Amino acid sequence: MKKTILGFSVIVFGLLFTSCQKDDYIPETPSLTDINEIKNAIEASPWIFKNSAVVYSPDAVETGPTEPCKDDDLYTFQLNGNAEVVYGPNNCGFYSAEINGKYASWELDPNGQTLKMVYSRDMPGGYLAGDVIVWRVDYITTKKLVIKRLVTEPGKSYTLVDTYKRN
Amino acid sequence: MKLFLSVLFVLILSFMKGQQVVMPLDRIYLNDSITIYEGFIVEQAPAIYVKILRKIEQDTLQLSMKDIWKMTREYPRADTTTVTAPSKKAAHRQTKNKYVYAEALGSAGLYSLNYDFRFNENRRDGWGLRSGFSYLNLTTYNYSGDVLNYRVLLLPLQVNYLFGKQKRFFEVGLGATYIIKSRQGTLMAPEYEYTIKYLGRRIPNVLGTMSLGYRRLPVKGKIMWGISATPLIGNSFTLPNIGFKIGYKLS
Repeated sequence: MKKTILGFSVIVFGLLFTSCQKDDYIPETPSLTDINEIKNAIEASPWIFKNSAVVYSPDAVETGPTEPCKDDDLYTFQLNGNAEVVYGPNNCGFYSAEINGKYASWELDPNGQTLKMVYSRDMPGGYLAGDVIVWRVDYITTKKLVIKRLVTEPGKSYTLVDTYKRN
Repeated sequence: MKLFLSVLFVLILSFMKGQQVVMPLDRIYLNDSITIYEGFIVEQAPAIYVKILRKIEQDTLQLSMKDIWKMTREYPRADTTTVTAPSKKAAHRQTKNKYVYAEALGSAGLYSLNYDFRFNENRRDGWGLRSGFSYLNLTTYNYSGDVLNYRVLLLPLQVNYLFGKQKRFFEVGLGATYIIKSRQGTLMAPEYEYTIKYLGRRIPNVLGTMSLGYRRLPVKGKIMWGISATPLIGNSFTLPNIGFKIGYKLS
């Protein structure tokens, strides 16, 4: 019996130590920091909306792969400050109207850390004409843009994380 | 005549000795399904106690009725009447409180294979330990929707206590499930961003576990089963869960 208890104790302590893994994430491409580089990266070419995650806490996240029908929708942040969308032939079906063209104006703060969007018409995702939405630029390269914002609603608050990519 | 009478007397004596009546004995079986006392019941207070006079041990025992499973009257059995005290080996053979069982859902989340035993080898109730394992392939997503698969080994370890008698037991257990995970791909974001598909929670390194439920153990057969509430307790969450177990008694 003593041997059994000793054996289990050894296993438990062994597991306690082996369970601690290192988070060894190093991004392949570091996020841009220069305001001009950030601006150029945003404007360079159309983005494809890849994902939206709702983060209530690190252990309460709503996320997953985006519907393939969104893979052919192109979002452009133009030099003149207009944000435009061109929907592809695959219609997701649950939007009342997928209208191409300008949907908002955009503006970067001088540090390139926040992206302000002023919506000029209603858009999927619950954005209404006149909404002013300020995003924090969390990660940006020429291939990937991750923006975040804190949303506070009656009874709950969460962080919304949107990801755009380009090939 | 004298000779005849002498022979007859000797014959009668031999016959009487040969025909010595084998008297049935009382047997008292205790709730632990292991202990059996054999002798003559000499006193009984209904619903309170029974006194048994043991022939071989030459003593008298008073047993509380609540500890008694059943009482019978049987002819003596060679295996018990001739052995005064079981050897250590024999006692070990009597122990039947070790089980292997499969659990659906339960302390390892989805399923597990387990081994369970009592610390006291001569009891079916009381303190015990359950240990097991489970292997899963889990798909996770980060906040950008990138997929990363994990191979996960879950090791539930739980100290439990069984209340009850005969075959019906109430189980209370407390323990932890240790999780060893191995990434099957490259991180595209910090690892804390990866959450399990549908659950929206990270794969933890360890989960606290509880077990509150019913366990049915065989007295004569081999199959055990049970059902328990088995909540999983994480760092910042508690997942309600239920476990169904079915298993086999090891001889």
